Amino acid sequence: MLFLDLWFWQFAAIAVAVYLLCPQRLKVAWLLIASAVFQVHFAGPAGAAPVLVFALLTYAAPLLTPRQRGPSPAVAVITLLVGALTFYKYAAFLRDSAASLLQLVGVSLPHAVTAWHAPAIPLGISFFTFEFIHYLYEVHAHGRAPIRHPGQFAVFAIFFPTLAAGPIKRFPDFVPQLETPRNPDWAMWCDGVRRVILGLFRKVCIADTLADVATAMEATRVFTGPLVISLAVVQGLRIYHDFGGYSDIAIGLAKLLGLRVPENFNYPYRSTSLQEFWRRWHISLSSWIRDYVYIPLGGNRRHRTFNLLLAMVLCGLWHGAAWNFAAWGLYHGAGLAAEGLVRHWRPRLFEPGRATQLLGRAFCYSFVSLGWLLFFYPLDTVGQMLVGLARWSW
Amino acid sequence: MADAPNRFVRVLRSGATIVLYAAMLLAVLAMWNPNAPQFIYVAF
Repeated sequence: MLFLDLWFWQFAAIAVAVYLLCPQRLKVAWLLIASAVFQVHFAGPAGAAPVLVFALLTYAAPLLTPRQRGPSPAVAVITLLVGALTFYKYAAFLRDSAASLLQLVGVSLPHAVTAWHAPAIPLGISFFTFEFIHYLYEVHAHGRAPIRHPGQFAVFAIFFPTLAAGPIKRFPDFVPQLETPRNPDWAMWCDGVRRVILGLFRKVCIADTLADVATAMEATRVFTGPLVISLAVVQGLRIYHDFGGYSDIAIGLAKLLGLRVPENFNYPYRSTSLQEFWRRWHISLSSWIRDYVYIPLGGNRRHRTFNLLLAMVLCGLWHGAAWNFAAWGLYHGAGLAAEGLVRHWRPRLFEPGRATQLLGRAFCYSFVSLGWLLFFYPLDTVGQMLVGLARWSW
Repeated sequence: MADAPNRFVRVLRSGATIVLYAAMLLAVLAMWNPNAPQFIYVAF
């Protein structure tokens, strides 16, 4: 239950209080102890092992002398992290997809493969692997200085407010704060308390109420046009307040410790274009995808449409091992590509102005809301919903 | 003396903010559900 667990709030109260009372030289050590307790409590000792092993490898790789031949240690560990993420999150999905495909040509997988049970997914693997890859990439490709202090690296790796679901931190912004950790000033402390309360309110009072509304709507099983539209709007608001609430709590807790972590949302439903939406929605993930997938693929320089589609499909699949997430990513990739073409052919449509902004906002909100159906429901259910939508007569 | 109205507005605004967040906290406690669904993104 993480942030909704009573244990967590008792733990957080002690963690923050002791941190504030700690002398400066002990603050990093205390953060590390508190984060380790959090990790072991929610993931268990076995569940904590993967993050420990990958953190050790990530810490050590840039400090090793690169060999004359063969891949550098940083590249080897990036490959290992991508492999581990694929194994833990996607092995069963890939196996089941391959089995379905092979069944079409009358071939079945061996029993040992179909009977294999995938191991439990380590807590926060999607988030900490992305932070580690970012760290290794920045040190290896951009020549940034590696983190030498093992305690500071360990806190970057398992910082408890952001461990389970981000925001995905960037080490050049986060680690310097650990060099001279300070208690928050009064304004920062108040802002931290405010964000924690706001986050809890958004989750408990808004998102969970909307979840109940969505469940009641789904129970009708007859997807009429108005129902489908309403579901799209309700789910869109639900996920915004659910994840926005989570992010508020994480950012607020970090502020109570005098630390700043990245913002994740900036009023995304005010966006006037899809490009703007992705600069305002889950910012720490979308900027990660831009910096470590889209730009290395070639970005806007060559094969822009292909790069966009691939980056967004990967972004979709990052959310879960299911085809509907891939379809959601493809939907947004296609939308962004089409918007890029319109921007090229009809730049006036994107010029500032009340009418263009209103039109852009309405289009963007409708497009994004409809997309949430792909995010929340299996593809066959979305198919039924679209049929209901197409049959809708005024 | 010219600062007095501004100061009054500031105090009023701070008071309203405290009342608002206290009300939000009360609402959270009133609606707290130990069986509430997990945060969506924690599953990712």
